[in-house]
Amino acid sequence: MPQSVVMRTIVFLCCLIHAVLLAQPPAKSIWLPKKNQWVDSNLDKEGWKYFQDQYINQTDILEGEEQALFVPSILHASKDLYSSLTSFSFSIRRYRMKGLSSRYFTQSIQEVSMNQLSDGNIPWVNWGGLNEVTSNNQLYTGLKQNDYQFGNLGSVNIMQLNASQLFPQTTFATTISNRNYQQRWAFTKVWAENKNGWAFAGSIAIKKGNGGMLISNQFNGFSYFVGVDKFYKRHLFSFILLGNRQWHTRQSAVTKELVGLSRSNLYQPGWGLHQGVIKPANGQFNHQPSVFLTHTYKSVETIEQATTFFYSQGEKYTTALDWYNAPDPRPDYYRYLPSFFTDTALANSVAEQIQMNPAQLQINWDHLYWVNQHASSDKRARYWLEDRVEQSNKLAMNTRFKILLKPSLEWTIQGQFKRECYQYFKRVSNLLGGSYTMNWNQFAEDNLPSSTAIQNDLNQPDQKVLTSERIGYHYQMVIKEWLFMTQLNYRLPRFDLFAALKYTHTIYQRTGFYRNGVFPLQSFGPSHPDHFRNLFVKTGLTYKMNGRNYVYLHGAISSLPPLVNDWYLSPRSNAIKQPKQFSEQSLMIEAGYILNAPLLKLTLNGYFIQLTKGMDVMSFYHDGYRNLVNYALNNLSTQHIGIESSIAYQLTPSLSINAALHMGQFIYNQRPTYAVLADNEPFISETGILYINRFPLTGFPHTACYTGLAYRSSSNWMMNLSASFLGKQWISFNPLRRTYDAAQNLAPNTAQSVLIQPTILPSEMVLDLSVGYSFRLKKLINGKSYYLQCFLGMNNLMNRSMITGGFEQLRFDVQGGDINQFPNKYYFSNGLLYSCSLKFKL
Amino acid sequence: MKNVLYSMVILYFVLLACACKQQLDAAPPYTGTSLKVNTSIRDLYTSHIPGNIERFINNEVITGIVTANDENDNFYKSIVIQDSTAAITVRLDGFGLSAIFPLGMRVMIKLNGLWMGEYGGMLQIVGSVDRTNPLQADLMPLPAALFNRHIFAVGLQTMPSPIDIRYNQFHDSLQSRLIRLNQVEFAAADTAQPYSDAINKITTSHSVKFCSGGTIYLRTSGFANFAAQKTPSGNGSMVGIYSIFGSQKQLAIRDTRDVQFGNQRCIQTGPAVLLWEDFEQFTNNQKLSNAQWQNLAESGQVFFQIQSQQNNRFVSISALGTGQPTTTSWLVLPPVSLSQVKSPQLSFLTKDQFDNGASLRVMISTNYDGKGQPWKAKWTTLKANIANGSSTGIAANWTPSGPINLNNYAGLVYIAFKYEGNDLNSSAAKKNTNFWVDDVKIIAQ
Repeated sequence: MPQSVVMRTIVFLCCLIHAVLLAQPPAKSIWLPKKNQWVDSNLDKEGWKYFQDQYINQTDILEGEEQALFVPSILHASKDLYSSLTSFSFSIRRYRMKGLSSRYFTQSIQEVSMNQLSDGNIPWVNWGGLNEVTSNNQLYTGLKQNDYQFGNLGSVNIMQLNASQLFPQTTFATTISNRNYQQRWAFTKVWAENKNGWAFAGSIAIKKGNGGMLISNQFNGFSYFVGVDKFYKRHLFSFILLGNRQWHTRQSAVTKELVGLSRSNLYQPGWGLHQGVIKPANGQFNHQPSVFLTHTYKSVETIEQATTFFYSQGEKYTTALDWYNAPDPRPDYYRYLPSFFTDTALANSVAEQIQMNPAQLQINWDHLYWVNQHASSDKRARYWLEDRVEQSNKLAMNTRFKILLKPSLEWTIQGQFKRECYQYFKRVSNLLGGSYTMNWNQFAEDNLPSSTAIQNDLNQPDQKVLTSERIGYHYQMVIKEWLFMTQLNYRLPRFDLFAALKYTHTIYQRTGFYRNGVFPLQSFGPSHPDHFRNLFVKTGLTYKMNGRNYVYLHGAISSLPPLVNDWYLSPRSNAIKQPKQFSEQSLMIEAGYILNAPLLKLTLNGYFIQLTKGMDVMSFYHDGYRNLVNYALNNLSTQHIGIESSIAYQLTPSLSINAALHMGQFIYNQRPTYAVLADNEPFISETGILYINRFPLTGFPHTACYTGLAYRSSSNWMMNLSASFLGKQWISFNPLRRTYDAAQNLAPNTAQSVLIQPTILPSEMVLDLSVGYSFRLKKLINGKSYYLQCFLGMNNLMNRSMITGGFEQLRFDVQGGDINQFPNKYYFSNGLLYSCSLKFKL
Repeated sequence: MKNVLYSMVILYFVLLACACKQQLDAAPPYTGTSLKVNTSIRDLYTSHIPGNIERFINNEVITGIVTANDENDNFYKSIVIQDSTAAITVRLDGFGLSAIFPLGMRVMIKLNGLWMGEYGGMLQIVGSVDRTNPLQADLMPLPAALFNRHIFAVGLQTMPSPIDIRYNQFHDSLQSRLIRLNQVEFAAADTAQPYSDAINKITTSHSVKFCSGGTIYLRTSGFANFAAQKTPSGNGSMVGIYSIFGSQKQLAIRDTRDVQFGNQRCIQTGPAVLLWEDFEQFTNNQKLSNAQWQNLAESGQVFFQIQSQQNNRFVSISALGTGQPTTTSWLVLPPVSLSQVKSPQLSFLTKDQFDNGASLRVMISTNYDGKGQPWKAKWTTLKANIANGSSTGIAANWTPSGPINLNNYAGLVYIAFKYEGNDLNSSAAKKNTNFWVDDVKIIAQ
């Protein structure tokens, strides 16, 4: 009987964990809007340019993976109280721990870091949907020492997927929710290690969505997992295969004007009716199966060794509309909206027309088909759907030794080689009734008359492109990284000490498969490889006052190579790089106090982080150049000072009260320089200074606090009610408006602050509730039982409609000095979100 | 009674049968917009008051076939539609219009709420009028968001054939019409030139000459994607949209296929044009100044001026207002070689106004050295019909000089117009007749 209680408790806890995971909101991006948005090659006559910030690629994270919480820390409630309390509730406003960017957080599987060397991002979607088997995590926040690798400034999460480490189970789970998928079914079977030393695990999950909050939403996901373990003496051999094949529509940010015109903040421009059926224009696909082969060896307590071979290959793409010699098909194009017209009568007619014909705010597919078939006799497609593809194959070898030199002294060494090869190209996926399209860069058409500049690929001039053929650009980026790490960990009676050192050697090389007409000499073939050698050092000291009170101090100095997308200015068309080679430098110091008493738990962590010599590249349509330009920012420097604190007090054995606070100052603290490379001129056309010193870092709340009440009955109930306040958040700003030249055409008597003041979002208060109940359906003769676990999670109980993020459009009307020509775009939250799941468990 | 019963039964079945046959009403199958055309494009021109900007308020609906669009970027933010009566330019605020309004497409336009007005004399349909500048109202194109409200596609149809136009047939009623000019060629200075300035994106004009005499200008946008192509040197036919800008007659082609100049230049065949000048190439309201023409004042400092009336340019001379006791002015034509030409003939048009006795003569010289002092050479007056006698106003019509035979001359000759008059105070002695001269032509067999 006591065993059954224990079992039930464990089961309940698992359920809780699972359920809370499921209840997480649609992964709000915790990252900055992705940099280097690919901007497409379409222009209209005056050269107005389609650029991607319309459909900013936020959705990689935003919708890529529901479970894509940055820190899956609820699992480590006992280990990291602060993360467990905040990561869930703060995520609606894209909270980022310490205001750091994605590359300062590491996610590893089987000890191999999954962060992509290309952009630093963690491809959560690759194992998305496998909630039942991806729960074996260890989180180390900040500079805390870990036994596996060097760590990172933000945090490291180490996920182990070995079949033998999963909880043996047979479960069937089903979920309904009003998020971007409405149903999820999952079946998981885990066999514990048998007497021959074999353990197996398998899991499949299906996610489906159609409509919901957003009428155009579609979601289709299938994920799978196979794990096999074989114990042989002191060796463990593991095989893991996992993958997630997923297609879903993407959400776009919209301006407030569109919200007003459509009378809905659920308005989305990226779809329309085609023969009466909803057809989305923006989608995203991902499928990158990964294989891990791990060998672990443990001698008697003194040597532990783990080696992993990792290979992953796959494709991801986003689908979008493109066009040539035809009017912009996007219904939210600024020239189609009333705000474009200075003439009131015209603005009113346009507004009236849109309100009388709401379909005008959606894509008119039937019309696009008609145009493709009738605009020219040979049916050259004027509109088509294209996939912007990233094909990758990644390979990694990692080996680690942990040697116990003395009972109190531990020595870890790690070596790793990674090779990531990315191929980027665009592919025509649907000619929309047309018969072909041309591989031309019409953007170059106006600039260099009668030249070959128009050719995207001089090696195949005037190429007619058919469905599923490449178009636009095609290049490969190979990134290799050698890594060596060593760490000493010394445990004394009152002190814990550690020191770690990491050295990496990173090599970047671009290979162009197109000879671009504008950059014929800088585009084709392999580029000169670049080598970056970087050193990381960290050390820390913990003073253990007693078993309950700990004080620690950690420090780290490191340098990181620039991300490859920040190093090449416009890799789609050429191999031109930043003018100077720097590595991003960082200095971090953190200190804290931990109280771990039976009734009261308290953590307090203060940190200072200084990042310098950062680089960034932004690509967007520039109204002054009348062209697509790449702004290469150099010498970006940011300062993060803040505290993170959390407290949990057990009122009664079943009721606890929790609170957490995050606040700090997150600013740019120097003036970066910029260099401009237009996409149609093979030289740097401008350099200057960005006046953004003391500007706030954007995209996450600078102040946030959490208060919660948690009830866990001795029987099978659990309930958690929390309120979170999220304040002081700015939307990402456009550097162009913070240059000297920006004010040149400002209307007289206009304060310059109109131009430069960053936009702050209103503070928000969010109420979340989760309820869980577990009961036994039937007890079997062999002692096992069938359990049914129910869970309901609700976010934003007050059903508030709120802005979750946004950005100033990078496009800026320099000539007019008018910031309202291209107004800010926002993401809106869908009001109350719920997720309800049932799980049958044997 | 029985009969009543029978008839009731029969009636019942009849009613039943009727009921069976009944069908629900249905609209005829949809075959296109149900709009009815109620106005022709010609009517728009007729109802238009020159200089006015008018708003359509009477539910006018016109139809037409698209004859030009921005396919090659020569037409910017506009399409041209044509019905059987006339054609008109419709200005639309959009790019890539050729995709939605391809050549040959029949559209119907609901004009209610739209405007029409002139741009450089050309009638256009526009979306709105901007009157922020009180001196000149700006015509604004129709916003793309309103296309659906006003323009309805009917379907692709065969393009109307261009109408063949001779030089003397140009008329305002041809505005925006698709026309064909035959036996034309680029002026010698305009052959093998780029159609337009693709580097600086500046619109460029080239003179197109009729073999039979007359000039029209081919206007091409610097944004046209054929702007950098070179003009051909041959002779042939040219199709395009006729337009005017002020007084200038212009043609705009849709693409270079509209220029079919495969033939030999006309100087080689038929009557050779040794000289042809209609003065359209010169700047209005200024003294004629040109390297080849000599505009000289022997006395009185009066020069031949370019003037314009009813979109036609010509030279004009008068002593009026000079106060000079005597004015003698010369307009010497570019020298003409009469060697190896058969039966050369000179002709021109003149018009007089307020004739009070000044004289205009046409003269020829074989010994003038061309150095700017014709009065030192020997000149022979040619017998010509020159306008006179309109003492109270402007002559109603141009007076043709009649063919003036130059058979008796050979070698390099100079021909000149010589004006003699005065502007004395005495109205009796005053001789300040104003003469206009146009269409000076020397041809040979």
